[in-house]
Amino acid sequence: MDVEITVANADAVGRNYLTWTPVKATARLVVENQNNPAVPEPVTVSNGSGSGGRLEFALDRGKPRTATLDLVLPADGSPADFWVAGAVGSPSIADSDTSIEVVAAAGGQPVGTKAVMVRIRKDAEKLTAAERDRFTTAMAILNNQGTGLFRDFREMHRLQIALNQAHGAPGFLAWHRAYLLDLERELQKIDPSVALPYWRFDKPAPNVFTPGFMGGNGATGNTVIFSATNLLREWRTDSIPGVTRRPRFNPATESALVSSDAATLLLGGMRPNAMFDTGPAGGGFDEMEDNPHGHAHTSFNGVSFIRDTAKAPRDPLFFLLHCNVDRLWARWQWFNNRFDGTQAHTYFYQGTVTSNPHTAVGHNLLDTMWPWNNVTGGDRPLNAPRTPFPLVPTATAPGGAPTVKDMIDYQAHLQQSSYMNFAYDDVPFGVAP
Amino acid sequence: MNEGESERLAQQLRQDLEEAEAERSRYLSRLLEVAAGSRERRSELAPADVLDSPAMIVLADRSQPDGERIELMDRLGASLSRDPRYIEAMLRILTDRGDSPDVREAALRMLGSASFQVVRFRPHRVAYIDALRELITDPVPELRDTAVGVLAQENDEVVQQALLNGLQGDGPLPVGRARAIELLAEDDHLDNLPWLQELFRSDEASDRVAAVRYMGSYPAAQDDLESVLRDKRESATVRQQSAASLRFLAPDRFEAVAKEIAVDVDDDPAVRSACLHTLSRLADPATVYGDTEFVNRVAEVGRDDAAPEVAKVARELVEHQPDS
Repeated sequence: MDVEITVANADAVGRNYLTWTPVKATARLVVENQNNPAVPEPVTVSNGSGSGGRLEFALDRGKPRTATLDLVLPADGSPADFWVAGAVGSPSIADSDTSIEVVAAAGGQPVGTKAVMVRIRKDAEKLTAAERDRFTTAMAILNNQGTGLFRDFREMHRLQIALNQAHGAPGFLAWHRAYLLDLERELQKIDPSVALPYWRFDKPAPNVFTPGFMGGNGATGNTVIFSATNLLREWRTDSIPGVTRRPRFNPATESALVSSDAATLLLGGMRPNAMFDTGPAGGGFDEMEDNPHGHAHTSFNGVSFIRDTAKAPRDPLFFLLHCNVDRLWARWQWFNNRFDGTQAHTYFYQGTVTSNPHTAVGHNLLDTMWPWNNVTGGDRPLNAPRTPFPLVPTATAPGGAPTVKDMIDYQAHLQQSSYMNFAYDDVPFGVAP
Repeated sequence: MNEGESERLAQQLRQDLEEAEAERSRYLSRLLEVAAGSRERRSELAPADVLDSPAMIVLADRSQPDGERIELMDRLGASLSRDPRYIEAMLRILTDRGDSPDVREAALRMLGSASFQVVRFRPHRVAYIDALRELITDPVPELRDTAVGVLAQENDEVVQQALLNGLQGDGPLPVGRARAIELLAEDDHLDNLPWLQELFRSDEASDRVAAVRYMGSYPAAQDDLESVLRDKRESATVRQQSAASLRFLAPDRFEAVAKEIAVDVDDDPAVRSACLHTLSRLADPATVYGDTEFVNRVAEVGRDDAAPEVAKVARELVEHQPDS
């Protein structure tokens, strides 16, 4: 008996990268001789051996998932459907380090396997050395000493009119979610096993601010120093090599000068009434744009790239900082069930800038976001360096010109078509119990 | 579904939020008490129209302990950028040379944070830059350092002129000489190469790292950079930075030198590793792997037990060979 396993959202060469979101899969008997039909075969689907990520299975998307699943495969070779997802708490650490295994009920022999990776955004402090190196290498290759695609990401966060699209208004979180995802997808073209790590700026990070990772500092000065085998040594932006940064805190023993995770998640109030925003009066979760976001940026000395709005993305640390900002939003969404953008608690400014003329363009629920929308001139910048938003076979969203709304249901909790194929290690699928 | 793990995460978060809520309530109660003390002195603090909240009263009260006012600033959160009166209060504190340096430093940090909210901060931006320029001559070195750094990152002409004047002996330097050169170097449109050559003469390795780093913006620095990269007496960190700078300015020149260093068993293992790593990952594969003699020598390095770290990177280079 031979069983073929397929999982939805495979990449161009058939590899699968899972998150906590259940993805449809099938198993079917490979019938070699149609004139000699087999009989229906009971099998068990489970996690293959290996020390990497762990998987869970269910017959229906909405049903509780379990470590094993019994199926009966039709004799005619037609597929039996099931759902598979990564098990929260057990992400992969390397490409294809885990597998779906199908075992025959009779005899207990494996009859089919499919290697997959549970690719999850993790706390940078806890990455393995190999995960860390894959990330820094992919970033350095994307930058290619200032001549690579990274230039576009730098340009998107430079001019005042570009910064207006993404800062000081409620679309801040949605725009940066798209920005990070766009970058992550480019990194995954270089190395598909890479997921953006996040910097927990409310905790000490002795493993992050090291020459082997985001760089350390010498006795004096502000130039960040990288180790011999950290390819970020070759980092270059705006025709100047390297990174300028010096923390005003001791990263080995102190957090940045920010409020705690819990204080941030409390900004919109306690569930079930937690608010994303309350309009001009303030008082919602979106206030996190100031503390911890702004405070994390200003936890570094004056000349540090990361302290300057227009220059912050010149420091690779920017993306770890913002990944944590996005994680905080994801965590708030999970805890408070805030995935439906049409609910005012999830996003205050419904409609578009036309229906809310006192708001800034790009910050209303149905506004498309620059640059991916390729809208230029007027209140938008004069050019759009990345358009359309990169579509990938491993995800179904967002589309080429994402709106604010499109970035909210990122785990496809409400709609399967919203699946963006990223998740955080401490933010499960769905809603907190 | 891994219900157990989700439940554990949710339970932990519920507990954390309850503690944070209780802590916030305790703080607000304390703030009211502190403000009551300040209110009795309010006539000395600031114009009456800005003293309409406990927070504003405490912020303006210089007799409060520094820690009290700094904690309040940290807790202001979005109120800072959404209420112009708080921005104005921060600007007043920042430019008040009679106020505590630590509180002024915190105010500067708050303003920097608020400046990230580009749309909301726009009305205050000119006043913010003016305040930073005022700090160029402030008696508190830490404030000068931060303000000069922020302005230098903005390529602000006023601070650049102050730094140039100071370096040329035509005025006081707001920061140390090495630091002034670094700050000017953030703008590579300026003719900084002579200053960077001066910085390279520093006894401090991190100054020399900075010097060769910024030299990477100046094509005329190629000879200096190659010389540093070849100098076995120089620290590995400085030579590695020199390699990166040279590679950008003259990739062919870098590759020629890097190939020599990579297989030189007498050279520093860290510099050899860095050269091999860059050749392996970023250099033109045709140049690297088309040189059969070099690849063969790297293969030998990969078998050299005397330098295991170099050997590891050497093996990676050989394994990276296209079609190998």
